[in-house]
Amino acid sequence: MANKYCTATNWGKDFFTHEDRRHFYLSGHPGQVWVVGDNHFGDSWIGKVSGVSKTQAEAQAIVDGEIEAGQTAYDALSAEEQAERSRPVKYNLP
Amino acid sequence: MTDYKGIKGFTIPTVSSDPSNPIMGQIWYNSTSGRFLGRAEGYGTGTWSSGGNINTARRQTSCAPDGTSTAGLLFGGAPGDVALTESYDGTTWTEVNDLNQGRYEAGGGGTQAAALAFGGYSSPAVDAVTESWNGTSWTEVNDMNVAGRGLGSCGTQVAALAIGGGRLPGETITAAVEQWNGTSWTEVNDLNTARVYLPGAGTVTAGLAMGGSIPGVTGATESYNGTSWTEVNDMNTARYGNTGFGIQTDALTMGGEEPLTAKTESFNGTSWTEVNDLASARRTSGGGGSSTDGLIAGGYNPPANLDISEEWLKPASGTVTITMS
Repeated sequence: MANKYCTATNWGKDFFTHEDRRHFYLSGHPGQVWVVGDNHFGDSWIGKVSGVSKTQAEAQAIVDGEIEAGQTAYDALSAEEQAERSRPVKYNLP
Repeated sequence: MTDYKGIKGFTIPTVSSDPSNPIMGQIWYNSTSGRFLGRAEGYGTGTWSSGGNINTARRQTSCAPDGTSTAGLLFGGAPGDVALTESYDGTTWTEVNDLNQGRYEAGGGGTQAAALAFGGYSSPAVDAVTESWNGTSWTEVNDMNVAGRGLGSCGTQVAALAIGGGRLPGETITAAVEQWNGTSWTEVNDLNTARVYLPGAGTVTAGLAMGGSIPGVTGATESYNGTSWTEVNDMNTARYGNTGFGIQTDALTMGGEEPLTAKTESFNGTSWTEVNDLASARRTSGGGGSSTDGLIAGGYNPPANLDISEEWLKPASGTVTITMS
């Protein structure tokens, strides 16, 4: 099933519920990007969280930008600090 | 065309509020919400929902492992040597009294009301300090024998295990295990595979070690019977920096890397099964609970230190109310 894309700020409790997770695919990504299963439950959730709809390319660009910023920040760390974490890696949104 | 009445012999009742205790298979139309609802068999696995956001975003943090989604305790973390402790009531995280020694990658034991923090990293060195939480404040107790960070951990305030980790000297990845009896630490039998950045689960007589870095990720799982460790079936996805909780025969692990993952797996004492993912991939989060009711909070999803939490709930079989429209 195709997905939809939006940005929305996770306010915490009940931003997404157990019932939401049973009804549609949902995954969160850097830059407050959310990938949402394309059904009417997903559409309702985007409305509930006041999600700003994005195309897949737009959403991917936001995630890429966040990861690039993370890579830049990682590269500026000392070797000791770098040893404590991994360098962010770009990936494709589902 | 056959309709519902034709099949079942009666129509779907319209009600203004959901029945308080519907029977299995019962369906109804809620005229208030405008939705068809019903009670169905459980989905067999749990799901993650969003929990309250913690007050201070952090990674490499620790949690009382025997908490629940309505009674969590999160302590320590990075960046910096975080001493902050936060308590969760199922809705809101509240700052409570700090650790005496700020640190990250500490081990943890116990519950929201009676917890244990041990080891970790407190700049500029790995830590052996142990602190006991009485529901209000932390008190320093006897140190571990060997300082360590990235420990696996399990157990209670008075009976806990510190499993593997990066230990002195030189933060060497170790197979060493120490047991806490409420007063002091004693070295017990080693893991079969040395590792760091792993979660533990269970008790001092029925423990579990799940994945980690050896270095390089591993899915190796080991079971502890109070005397020795035995290799059991590997996780489906090798990982380190994952979170885990539960008991030896009914445990969960979630998150971790590499690559960064949202995958959650369930262990039944013999083998691992993939269940529903976290909404947000993360590593080095704090977590506690059981296979039916748990919590994960904080962590790291590059480039962000996370303030978000997720609550795991696996309903008892046959008690799920489903929405059909």
